[in-house]
Amino acid sequence: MNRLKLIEKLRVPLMIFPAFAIVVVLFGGGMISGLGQSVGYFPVIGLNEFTLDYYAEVLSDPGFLESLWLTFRLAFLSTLFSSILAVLFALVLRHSFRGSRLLTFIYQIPIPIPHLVVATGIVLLVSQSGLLSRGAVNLGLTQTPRDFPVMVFDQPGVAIQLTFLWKEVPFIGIVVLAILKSIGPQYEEIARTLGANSWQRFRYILLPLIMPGILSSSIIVFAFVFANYEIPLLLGVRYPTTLPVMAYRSYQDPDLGLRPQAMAISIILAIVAILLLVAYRRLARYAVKA
Amino acid sequence: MVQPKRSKLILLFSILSLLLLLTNIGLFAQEEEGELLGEVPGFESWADVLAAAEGTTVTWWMWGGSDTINTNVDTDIGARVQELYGITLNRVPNGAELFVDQVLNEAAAGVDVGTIDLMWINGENFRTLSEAELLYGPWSESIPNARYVDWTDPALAFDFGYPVNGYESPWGHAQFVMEYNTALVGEEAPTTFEDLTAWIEANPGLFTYPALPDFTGSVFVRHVFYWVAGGPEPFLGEFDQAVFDEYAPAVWEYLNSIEPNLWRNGETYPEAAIMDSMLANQEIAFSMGYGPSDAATNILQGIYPETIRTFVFDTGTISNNNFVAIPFNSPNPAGAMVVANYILSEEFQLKLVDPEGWGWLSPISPAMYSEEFQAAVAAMELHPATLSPEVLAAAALPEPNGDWVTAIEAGWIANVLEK
Repeated sequence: MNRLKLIEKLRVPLMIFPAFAIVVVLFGGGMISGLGQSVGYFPVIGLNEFTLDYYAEVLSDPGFLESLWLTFRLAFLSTLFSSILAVLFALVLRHSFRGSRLLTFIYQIPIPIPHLVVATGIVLLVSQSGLLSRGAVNLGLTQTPRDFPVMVFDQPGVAIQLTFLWKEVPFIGIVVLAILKSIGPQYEEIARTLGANSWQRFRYILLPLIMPGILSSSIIVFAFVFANYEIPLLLGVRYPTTLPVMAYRSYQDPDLGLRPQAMAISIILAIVAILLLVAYRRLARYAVKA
Repeated sequence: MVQPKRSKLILLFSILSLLLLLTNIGLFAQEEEGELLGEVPGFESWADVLAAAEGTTVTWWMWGGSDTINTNVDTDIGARVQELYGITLNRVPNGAELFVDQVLNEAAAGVDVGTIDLMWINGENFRTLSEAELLYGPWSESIPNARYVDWTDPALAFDFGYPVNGYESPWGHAQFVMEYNTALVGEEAPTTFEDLTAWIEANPGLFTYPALPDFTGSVFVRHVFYWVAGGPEPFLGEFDQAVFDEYAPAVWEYLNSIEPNLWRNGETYPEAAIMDSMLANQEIAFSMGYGPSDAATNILQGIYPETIRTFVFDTGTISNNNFVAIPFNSPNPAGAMVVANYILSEEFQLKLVDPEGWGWLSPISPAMYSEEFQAAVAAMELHPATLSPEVLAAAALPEPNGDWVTAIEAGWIANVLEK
């Protein structure tokens, strides 16, 4: 009897253990060694003294705050626009109509395609030496490849933003769509009989129901974009760039003396991301209640 | 009708397999095997090394950005060391900075049997690993074919000013050349910085160089330093902050002055990897690189139009050597040395210098090899986009000491990119 109880008690911890162990060992291990290097513990190159100089160096670099702002703006805008577009798409795709299944399938295509592949594809397609540009020259639309509009390696980062939208809209959308389909039409029909117009039905019936789904999937999108380096690395300008790219470049530098700075940037990035996510969860809880 | 054909095929297949088997057990190995010229850690004789290497796999991490090089390595090195020594070459294409990471991480984690046997590395990364004492050796002066290497040549005894001391073995020679599109620039290339500057100002948007710390962008900026200082001499010794401060401001001023007329008005700088296609599509008029025959290769492969040519500056261009090194925890240093030895052989170096093969320059003076080798080299025909070895040799300038490179890269980022 006691034994059964014990097993019952241990069941959840035991089930969580494998996933937890992987996270702690791989992620935690990396974090700890990164944290160590960022405060000057890097014995391979002879650093043993605890110091916060690297953090001071990083934080006093004027480029750092600019990068932080850029990274935040990119993550924020990507999350906001992805969520709005995803809801709009889901509202259309939840109905059955001729071709709706095909459309839903097409809509979901971006989900399994890696970000790296998308970025490479975008360069090959819309850069000034890309396929479209060369096609335009051949068709006589432009005189030289240089006349083609600038969309990659540009300051505003048009292609970066579009790539994230292309990838994240279906991701949030698939969650919202699943909720919408499971709700069914009853609530709305009742609301309609009570005289609610379509905006009111969306605002007071559907939105509260899909809000938890939007929030949980958009939090993933925000965290992902905030820490993503390959898209801004491949499609962005060299400077200014986002924090993950900045960290990656310092990390890659053959000068190992820059390694602690790279780690300091990464740790700051992680802390900022965690703080933002906590704040976001607070807000989200408030939003769901309201 | 089908039957006899099939039986013939089976016969052919059996003969082939038998041949493969024979070559594998070394019956056909005919290369003169040589003797060790000195000591290498862990082995008594070259026969020991060969015995330890046979039937093993050598994992070679190398820069993987060129399809041509990748294929050439597989056919001209991988297939040959398999035939000659029963070594399977496992080429891992990667960026050089990743090798350093990998070795460092293994060292930090206390991994004594690592994953890399051989690395194609350059000055900065070699210095990083040397200073951390993470290389196997000394070995490179002791392998049999080191007899061809002129270790008194400073370009071979030092890699970016850092003493090689038997920890690296050369296998190719590189020299910086500028590539230009005659359709945009005309036949006469601007071979001085003054002419180049004038051209850039007259033709805005058509010139750029890769963002540092990319090694191609980095070497271009080193040329600007040499130009400003009137020669390479100030930068050949140990790094000297006073000397750096004397020349650097003029270099940054110059690079900032041309910036508005660069590609994208200098708003950004491209990755080296995409400059080939930018040049091919007339998005820019000039490219650059360490491979004097890359332009010819690209024309022959249809990547570049026929109108691309190369030039060197009147004041010379920087040249250096390609080296291989073995990490301290290589699981197979014997195999790695056999491969490093093979790529110094006459057989391989002939393919290396052949314009229709690799089209590289050799780190070895042709006089060190046989008369057949020299005759074969003399008979090789150069592509019109490739400068002759004589022109290149006459223009060759040494690399600065590695510390200068680091300072120049950091300085460029702070004073040109971020300004």
